[in-house]
Amino acid sequence: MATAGPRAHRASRESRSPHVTPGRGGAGREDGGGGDKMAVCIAVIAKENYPLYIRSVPTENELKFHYTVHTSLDVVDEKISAMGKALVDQRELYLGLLYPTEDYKVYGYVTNSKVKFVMVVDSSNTALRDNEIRSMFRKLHNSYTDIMCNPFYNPGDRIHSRSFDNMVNSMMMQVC
Amino acid sequence: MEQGAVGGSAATAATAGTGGLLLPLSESEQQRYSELFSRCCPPPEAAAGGSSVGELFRASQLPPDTLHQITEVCGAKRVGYFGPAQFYIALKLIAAAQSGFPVRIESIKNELPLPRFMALKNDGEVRYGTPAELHGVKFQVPHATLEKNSYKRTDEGDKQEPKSPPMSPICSPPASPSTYQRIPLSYGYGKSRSGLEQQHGAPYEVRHPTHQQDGSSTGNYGAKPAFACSTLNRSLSAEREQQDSSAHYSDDPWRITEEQRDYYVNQFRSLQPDLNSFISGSMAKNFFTKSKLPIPELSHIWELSDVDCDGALTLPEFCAAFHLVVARKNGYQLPETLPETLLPEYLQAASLKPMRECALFDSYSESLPGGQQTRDFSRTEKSAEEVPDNSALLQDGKKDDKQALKVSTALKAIPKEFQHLTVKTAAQESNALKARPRSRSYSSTSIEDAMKKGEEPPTPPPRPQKSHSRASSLDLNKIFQQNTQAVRSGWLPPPPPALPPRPSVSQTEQPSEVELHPQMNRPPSQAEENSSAKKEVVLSQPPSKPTRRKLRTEAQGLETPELSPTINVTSSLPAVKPHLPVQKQSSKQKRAIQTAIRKNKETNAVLARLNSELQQQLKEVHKERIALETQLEQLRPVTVL
Repeated sequence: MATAGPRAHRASRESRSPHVTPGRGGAGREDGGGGDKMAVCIAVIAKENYPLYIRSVPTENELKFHYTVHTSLDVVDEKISAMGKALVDQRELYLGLLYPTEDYKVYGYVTNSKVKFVMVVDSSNTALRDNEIRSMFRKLHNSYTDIMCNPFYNPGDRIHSRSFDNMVNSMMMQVC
Repeated sequence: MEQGAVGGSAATAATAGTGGLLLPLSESEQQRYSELFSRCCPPPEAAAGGSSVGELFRASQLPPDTLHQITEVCGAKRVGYFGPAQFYIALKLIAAAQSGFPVRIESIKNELPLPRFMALKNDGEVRYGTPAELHGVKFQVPHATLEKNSYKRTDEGDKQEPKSPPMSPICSPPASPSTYQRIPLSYGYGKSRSGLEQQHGAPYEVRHPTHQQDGSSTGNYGAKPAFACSTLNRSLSAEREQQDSSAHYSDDPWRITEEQRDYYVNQFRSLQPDLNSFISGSMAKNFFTKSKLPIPELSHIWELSDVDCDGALTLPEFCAAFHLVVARKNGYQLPETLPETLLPEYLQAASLKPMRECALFDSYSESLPGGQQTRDFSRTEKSAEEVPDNSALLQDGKKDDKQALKVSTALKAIPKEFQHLTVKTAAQESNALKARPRSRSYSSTSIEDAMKKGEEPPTPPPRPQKSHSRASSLDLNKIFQQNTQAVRSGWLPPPPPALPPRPSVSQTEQPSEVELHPQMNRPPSQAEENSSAKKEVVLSQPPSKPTRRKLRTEAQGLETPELSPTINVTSSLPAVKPHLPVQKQSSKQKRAIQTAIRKNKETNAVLARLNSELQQQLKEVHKERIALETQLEQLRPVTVL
């Protein structure tokens, strides 16, 4: 009994630590331009196609990214509708590459409640693989559900959560 | 040393208990083991608490498999508890394991170094194995203590006694042994404790060494005086995990004290009778919204406290959330991550023995004198019964400079409210409605609110009597009602009610200051002195009883307010007149008059205060006028030209 306690205690503590500090590991790393999962802009779009959360790398012209995200919504809608009603259950949440431009690539992800995550990634970041993007979207989705669990959050509000910010920061490119 | 005796007996028990296994324990081993055992197992109990033993074992830094093995071998598994024999064997096995020997009974028959337990708060750097075995194990304590190992060991005994006394008044003796496990001592009481530490020199219970021995992480061991100071910090920490935060626990606002914890638990119960179940998100939202914190902050608090992110709060999560709300209301910035002391597991473990309120009311009563002192200090002249809790606490908040004290007084407010609330929540537990208890629960937060912005002077409620029943002139009433508003902010307390005879004089003083002059023996030079002079007159006039009686009878007889002052004047002038035959009549009406006197006394005080204020205003206005005039003078030559 005495020894069962410490073991369970340690395990629970370990399992909790990544939760408490969600993005700490990534945030500390310097970006060398590839090899790290780094996006340039991340946006969370509500069902009604207005942004709940949008965050870009600060040095760039942010408006450009906002415009990019906005135009990508059309592509998202196109992809959703293309699947048809029959495939709604089997529809994969990850939409993949929405459209590439010469500077960057745009990836999309839709939840079952039609909340869209859009991620803009620098084209020079060639080392980013598809499953890395998927994992980033999964993290986003998890954080989003955590926010939804918060009773003080009204769905449809802008997202002001510190933990969500930390998580997104960990995924963003660190531009000095 | 008491522990030595215990150790001796325990050692013999160990030899007897192992069923023929003679466990040769050296002197130092015996001492060490007995200390450890008494720490894990308070004297009244026969067996060591499982959790504390587990903690100690973990501190040995052995892998859990080894610990399991040790538990098995020492026989604790077999008998089901850690008696002294098992404990001693286990310790020896730990030492063996740390030295690299296999965990067997045979290995402990040899001479072994002492087992090392590191990073245990309770251990402190005193808990050292032999210095030779230092390899690879991180010690948080400076190496200088190595040589002093034995010295500290012997010191420990002496230090324990002065250390344990500080605990004694806080944790009452009949408290459960769990107290040392939880050590839920409020950080706010650290100040009062420093005073207590010097008071008690007598040694106290041995079971409290756990309090004092932690704090190795603070690393400020060394000199004894430093030791004495650091005992405060250490004694204030609730150590169950191997936390090595360098924060001073006496200042740690993220620790939940006992009474706070009980308060939170009761609040939880009001929302959800089953303590093991959850509070749903919406219920919690309604509850915490009443704290009037802004929604983003509440949202952040939720994020911090709902660790498993399931949209519901368990009891420890709820306690953490509540504590964060309380802290925020007291001005603390919310942390970015949940402090360790608010982690659910931490709180869960602390709540293992939930209802052992060791020092809830003892500590509360301890805090009360402190609180009352500040209160009384600020209200020396006010009658105690008329000032409600609110103003008292507001004054507390005003007086306290330090944040910690402020929090402590705020938290004292919680127990005050808590006492009211326990009655109410108990009555309404079965009530499905949550509105009522919750509204009361936030009366405490409203107090904290008030305390936070407690810079404005607290206005006590108006005294019940604002008009004079008798012996009052009409103009007095008018004056009084006019000045009620102005006066209220600056309430001058009446002269102490212990001087009933005086009011007769003060009564006469009310109508005008002019009358004061003939009355008072000492001339009031300035108007400001009137108030004080009145008091002096009131306080220092010796001829009381005969004068009073005479006044009363004559006042009764005449029943005219205007006449009574004059009568008082005439009667006070001679100051000595035998009025024995009138006494019987006056006794009946004495009471009526006394009430009137009291009222008049108070109005008098009010007016005196008002008078002084007005005089001050007049002075200021004069000064302004003079300043303006000088300016005008300066400007005049210019304009002339």
